Amino acid sequence: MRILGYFLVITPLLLISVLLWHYFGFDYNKRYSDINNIVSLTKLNTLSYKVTWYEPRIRRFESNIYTPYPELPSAEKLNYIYGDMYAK
Amino acid sequence: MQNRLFLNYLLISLLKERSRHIGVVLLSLLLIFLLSSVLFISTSIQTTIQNAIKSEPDFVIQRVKGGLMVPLPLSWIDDIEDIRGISTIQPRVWGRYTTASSEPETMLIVGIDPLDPQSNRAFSKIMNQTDIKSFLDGNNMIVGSDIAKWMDMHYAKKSYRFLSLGGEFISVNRFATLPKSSNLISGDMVIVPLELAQKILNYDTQNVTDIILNVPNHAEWSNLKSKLEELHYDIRVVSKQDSIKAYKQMFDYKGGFFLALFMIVLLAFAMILYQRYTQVLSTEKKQIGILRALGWSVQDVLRLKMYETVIVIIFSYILAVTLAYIYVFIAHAPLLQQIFLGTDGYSGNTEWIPVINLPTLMSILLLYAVPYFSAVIIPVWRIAVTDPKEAML
Repeated sequence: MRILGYFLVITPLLLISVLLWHYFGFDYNKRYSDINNIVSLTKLNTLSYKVTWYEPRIRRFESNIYTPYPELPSAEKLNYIYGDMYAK
Repeated sequence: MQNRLFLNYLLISLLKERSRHIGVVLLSLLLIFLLSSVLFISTSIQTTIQNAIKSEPDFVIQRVKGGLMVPLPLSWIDDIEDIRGISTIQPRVWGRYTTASSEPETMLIVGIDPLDPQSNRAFSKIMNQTDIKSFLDGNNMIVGSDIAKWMDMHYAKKSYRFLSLGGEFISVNRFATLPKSSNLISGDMVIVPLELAQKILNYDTQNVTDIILNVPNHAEWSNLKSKLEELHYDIRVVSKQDSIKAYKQMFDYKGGFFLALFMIVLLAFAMILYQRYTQVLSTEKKQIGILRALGWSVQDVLRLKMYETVIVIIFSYILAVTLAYIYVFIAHAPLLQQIFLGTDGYSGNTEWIPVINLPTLMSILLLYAVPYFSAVIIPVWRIAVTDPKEAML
């Protein structure tokens, strides 16, 4: 009976204290603004370099963006850039 | 009255079989604890990244040679300036610096532009002072808390001598330390004025690492990207939208990966439980037979077992999730965080920002509860529907 009693008392107490901690224990605004201020100061989001598992995917993704010989612009784009000259 | 007796019997039977229940609770505790910890960390990183992306520049321009990034000339800024619709263009100098000691430490050297008003604003917010001039006057640096700790240990409490990549010693004073709460992003960072960063990383004064620019009109983004790509053959343009998309893909991929792992573990768990219950039930068979002989209906027997199972599920779930929260957000997830983060300069001293993703936690509960429930209830139901005489044999 005692073990069950421990469970019945400790689990809700633990849950309540964690919930209180979650809602009142942190100054979320300060934490987020600290991070945002550093990103605005350095203009560098270094977190992307630290998320190890994702790095190869990011690299692959970036190499997809990079095209050594850019594709020829479409007529629409040329039209936008240079006016009506190319559209005709 | 009947309910009280029923509950009393439920408690007694829970206690009688406590070794089995404690075993099951421990097993489920471990399973849910691990899964929730992984989930807490990944949600926290995801939210922090999403938040940090807001302050990122709209476009980053890099120069690529053989697939690798190389420094680009400042003259590229003049080419970009001619394009209409761009609000700010700035050079960026950053790179890694590894110390020459028996235990090398890698730092991220970042140069900041003294003339940029946005940097000045952010600087005054971080340092709680408006005077950026005193920082830019001499060779000063602001260091992340991991680096500060490393420098304290290596007798560099006031200044540190960098051996520049050109072979020249540069002594830099420690101006301030960045807050520990932003360690996730700035732990290994050393912020210095732009020219000093160029010196330490041995850049030409006319070379920078990359160029950033902002385009206020979002409708112009795709058009502007194609214009930028036409400027040079070795240019790489990375837009904010691209990185947001990439992050989303990564997190979806990773979330799916963990879900698949969890399904496998859960299946194994359900199989163990099923086997355990069908074996143990030979003794329990007798108990159910006696209850049935005493006049309990099949429904009553099922109700008893259902309550038993629900109590075990709820306790193990709440306990596991709470412990996972404490482990990740209060104890900062020792051991497990290395799976998620890590570069040369990463010390593993990270404070996660607590985020609770309720829908995912609820789906874990469902995914865990349903197989467990069926693994217990189905064998019990099978015995309960047989004749009590037969069951007691």
